[in-house]
Amino acid sequence: MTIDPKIKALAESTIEDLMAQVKGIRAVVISTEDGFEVAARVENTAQVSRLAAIAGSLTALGAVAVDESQLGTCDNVIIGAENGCLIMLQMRGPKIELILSVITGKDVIVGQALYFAKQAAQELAQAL
Amino acid sequence: MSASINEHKILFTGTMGAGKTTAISAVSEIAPISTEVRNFDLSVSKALTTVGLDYGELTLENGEKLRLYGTPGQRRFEFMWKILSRGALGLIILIDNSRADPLADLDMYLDGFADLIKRTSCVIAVGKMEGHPVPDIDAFAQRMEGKGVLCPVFPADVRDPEQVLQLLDLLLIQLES
Repeated sequence: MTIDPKIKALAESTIEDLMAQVKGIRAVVISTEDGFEVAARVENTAQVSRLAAIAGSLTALGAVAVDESQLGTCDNVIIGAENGCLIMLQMRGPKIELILSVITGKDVIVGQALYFAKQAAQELAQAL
Repeated sequence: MSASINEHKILFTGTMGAGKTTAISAVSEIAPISTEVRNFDLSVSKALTTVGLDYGELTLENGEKLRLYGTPGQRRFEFMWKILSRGALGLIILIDNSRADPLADLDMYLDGFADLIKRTSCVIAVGKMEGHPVPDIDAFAQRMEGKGVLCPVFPADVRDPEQVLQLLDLLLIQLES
């Protein structure tokens, strides 16, 4: 897999910024559509390679569900759980599409995490 | 939700590029659902790869409906193998004989789908044998025998709908026997 080093560096700084903005984020992974890690920071026991593959599958399935429902383009997939949530956002650039996955703890307000994650995704998408 | 009595879930698996999406598209009577995205794996010369599932439907002459699911091929999507195996009635493993070690590929899917194979039935279809005759059908059969698995193995070109239908027939015959 070859990812432009500039994109990789931007992805890494995006993750740092996002984790600084929202306290309680446990992990952030930026990955390719087909499930390869581009950059990641993990503060829990999440396995980055598995999470990258799962994000690829879930966003692809989300896109199919959205298409079947005639809802336009799928922008994000959010999974709520007992101890937090998992937010996956698609970043579409002219050359490459990436997925931003954010795992939060249960004390994080989902709307706040989603707001900052969307901002981060939009900024990174402009550089893709 | 379980399938009705005249509906069966059949799973296609195999390496990336072996033809899972192609096989389902070849026989599906609905527009197939696909989750193909750009492939970043440079070891495989393929523009797109399935990361979620493929889905198609086929009604047999006796009125039975087959729901055809394709899995992602790569081991990193093994979690999807387990999800898609639930409720499946049978498995078709597609082998690409032009790859470096097709017998090792077979091992990966026999192991990855061991539970499903144990409780249902399985057919192995080996593709691209014309240009890549080795390993031959006997070698695949021996490999399975060594693992205690008894499944029919056939050469097949899954671009041909007739050959995909034959594989499905073979699988259903296995299930009836």
